[in-house]
Amino acid sequence: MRQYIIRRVLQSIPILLGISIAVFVLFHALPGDPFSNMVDPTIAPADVAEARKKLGLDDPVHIQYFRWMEQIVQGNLGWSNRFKDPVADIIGSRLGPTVLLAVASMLVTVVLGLPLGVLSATRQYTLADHAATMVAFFGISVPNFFFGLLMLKLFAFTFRWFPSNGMVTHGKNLEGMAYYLDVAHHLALPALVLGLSTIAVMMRYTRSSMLEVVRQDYVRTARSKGLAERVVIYKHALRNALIPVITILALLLPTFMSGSIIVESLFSWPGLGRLTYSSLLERDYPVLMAITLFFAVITLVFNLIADLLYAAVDPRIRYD
Amino acid sequence: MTKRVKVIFVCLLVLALALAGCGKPADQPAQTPSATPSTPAPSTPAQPATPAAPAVDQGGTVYLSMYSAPAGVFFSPLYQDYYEALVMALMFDSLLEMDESLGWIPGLAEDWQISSDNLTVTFDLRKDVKWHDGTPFTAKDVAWTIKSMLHPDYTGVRTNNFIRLKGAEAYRAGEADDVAGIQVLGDHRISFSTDEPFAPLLYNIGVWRIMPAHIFGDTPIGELENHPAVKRPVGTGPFKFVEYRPDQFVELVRNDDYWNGAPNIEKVVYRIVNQEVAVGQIETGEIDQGDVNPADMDLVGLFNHVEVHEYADFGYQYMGINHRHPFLSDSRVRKALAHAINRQAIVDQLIYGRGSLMNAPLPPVSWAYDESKIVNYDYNPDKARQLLAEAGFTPGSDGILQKDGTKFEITLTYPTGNQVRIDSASLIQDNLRQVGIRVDLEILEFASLIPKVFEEQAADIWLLGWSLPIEPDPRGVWDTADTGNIWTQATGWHNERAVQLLMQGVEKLDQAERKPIYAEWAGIVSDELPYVFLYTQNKLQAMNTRVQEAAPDVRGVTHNIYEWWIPAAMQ
Repeated sequence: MRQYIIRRVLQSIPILLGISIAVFVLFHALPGDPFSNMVDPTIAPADVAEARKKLGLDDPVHIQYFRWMEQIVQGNLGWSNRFKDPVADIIGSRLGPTVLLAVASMLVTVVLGLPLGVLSATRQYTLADHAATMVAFFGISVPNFFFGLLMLKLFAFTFRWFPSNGMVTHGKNLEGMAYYLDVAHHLALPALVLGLSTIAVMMRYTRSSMLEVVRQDYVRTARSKGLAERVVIYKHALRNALIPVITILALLLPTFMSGSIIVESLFSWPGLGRLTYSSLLERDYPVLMAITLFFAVITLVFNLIADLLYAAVDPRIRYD
Repeated sequence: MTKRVKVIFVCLLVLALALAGCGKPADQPAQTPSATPSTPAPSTPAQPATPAAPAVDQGGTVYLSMYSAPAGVFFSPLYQDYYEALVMALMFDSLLEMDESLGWIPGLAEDWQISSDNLTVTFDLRKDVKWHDGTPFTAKDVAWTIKSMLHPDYTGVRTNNFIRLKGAEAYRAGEADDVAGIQVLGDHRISFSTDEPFAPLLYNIGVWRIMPAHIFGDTPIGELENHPAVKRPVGTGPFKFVEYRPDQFVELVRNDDYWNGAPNIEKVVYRIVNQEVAVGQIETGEIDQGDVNPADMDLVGLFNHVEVHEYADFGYQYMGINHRHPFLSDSRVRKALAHAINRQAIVDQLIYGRGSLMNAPLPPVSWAYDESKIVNYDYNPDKARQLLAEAGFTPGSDGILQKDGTKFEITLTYPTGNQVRIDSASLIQDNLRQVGIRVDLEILEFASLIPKVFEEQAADIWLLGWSLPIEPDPRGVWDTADTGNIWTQATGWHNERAVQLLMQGVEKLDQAERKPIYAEWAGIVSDELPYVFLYTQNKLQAMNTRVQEAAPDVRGVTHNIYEWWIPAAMQ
């Protein structure tokens, strides 16, 4: 097992290197640079050219890449000329909100998607199955943007049950439990909107996995023992049906972590999605590179975790 | 239309009632006929005869909004985005300020004189100004701020504003130890001089936000961006920095020692919100102020607690024309384009009449604007067809004009972002098809479009806008003799006389002398049409009426924020 992990980690090094080269070249191949948005008649293009040179943007791409790599190897993610801050600080300050929103959205997905999946599997082709499928597909097909605005209109503006923006109530300086409740209050709507879009994935996987399991011999045995249907489904069948679902969850989390530009922007949530988007518009190369690498690492790590979890919950699978 | 008029009328009525209600706070004794000067009450001799100023409540928080997050560099030599400038305006001051009619009034400088040879401007600074940390403000701060942008190691892009100062070029090249044109004449007196008279100098120096030399003075100029005070500013302005939570809000607290009188409002919070959501947040009062789209005006008009301030803006939108294109170098063709495009329809339908047509590169709100010599192009497709025929174009079998066997097919390039501009692109496409010109639309992300238009000069026609400073000197866009300046080279148009006029325009300091120069220049530009000028869109600022004395105008939303107050019951 340990050997397996070490092997996987070592394998990821050339993958990351390849990603970094490809992404670096692609970002720099985009038209424009960090000064392209400064279209201002009071700024002389000659001054911009001077600033460009001082930032090293005139150098060939491979020189810029090696200069960037040199920093990375020393554990320095670089410096953002736009924010005048180290890249590590910029990403660090957005990481907390992103993780919080990702985990909360996952929770929404699981809490709604899993029971719906079980329901539609155990009542296959009934009205309940079709209704559950409808709900799930509503979630996947309604654009975040529209659903987000709808939730805002209803719950933030009409009923005013939830705040419409930010992470905390401004000016209250809450502490302890009250602070966490306040954050949860702000988190509810964006998490619901973001989570809804993946309910369908969760539900369909649970459904097909359940359908496969309930047809197996041991479930029939459990039933013939005279166990209550509830016990058969939740204690015997669901446990095994969850194995592929856990894998899906581990693979979904990096998607959530990459943030949602739309949901974050609608609710003024200070996460990585908005940072990625604004950095792309502003051609903030050091931030873009660091974020891309960060997502690559996260994705590789969670792939590994998914494989390990798979072995942990399913004794039939062994990595030697 | 009648419905909109009715809505506006109702809003005005509601507003009038609200204002009437606010004019007399409940704790203010009602004015009665008996309180006339003929029966002065002996116990209150200090009271002026005119109605007393209404009692102003202290405290409260005002929530302003912005639709994009500032990067957080609140430092005038290095800032890059408009949103940083908005925040800086509350924390920093400039030497001069402007009154309603955009005339100069004292700021950090209580007086200023221009020498008789028009080469030197001397500022007498206020002596009672303190930085937020208590250090007195002096001429050294002014000198340091301006000089920092001329230093050889300076990493920002604002040098151009001050490069005309005497000796600035030499200092920047590292050939001089000091800028000869900046003279500190005492703690509260400083002068700036140039080699030639240069009209924009007073503006460029007068409006610049002054930074504290006692904080930054010892830092090498090349390392200024690492200084923590760039992010946690110390200013002289009406509000002091508290914190910036990236992508969430900027919080400021009042400066009780503000030289222009302590603000009444305790805190200002700039919330970073989504533009699509802002109207709802204005409705609930989560934000007190928001920049409104013309399309949302009917909805915002329904909110009883909101007043919309409308004012003309210094920016304008245009369709650029690349004169390197063989067809477009003919001025008859360009005039045909101007006649073919229904610009009034853009103003009426896309911005709902909240703006005006443009025919020249100076906005009507500028003092330099003079209609008399500007050529006006009405919407006249027949005239456009006639001009195109004169230029030698004949309709082909498919209805598309052609000349010498080449079809008149061009590409209109425009950026994502501004929805009105995006919508106007298809309107222009349709208008031009009607006179026989085939237009392909190409939409590009902003940072991709700019190199194509300005560096590669590869666009045929394009849509963009300029936001202009109040000082009208247009050389930054129109000095076509400056071939190193990509902004001025995009069209490839050049007119010797026009450039001459621009040079004359900055050599005279008197507005009355400059005005006819710019009038003649605008006349030439509107006749030769390097651009088809489209429209200038008014600013629409929604403001919660609980905020008293708020008066957004062309100087900005917050120009008089130190006078704002919120009745105690509404805080």
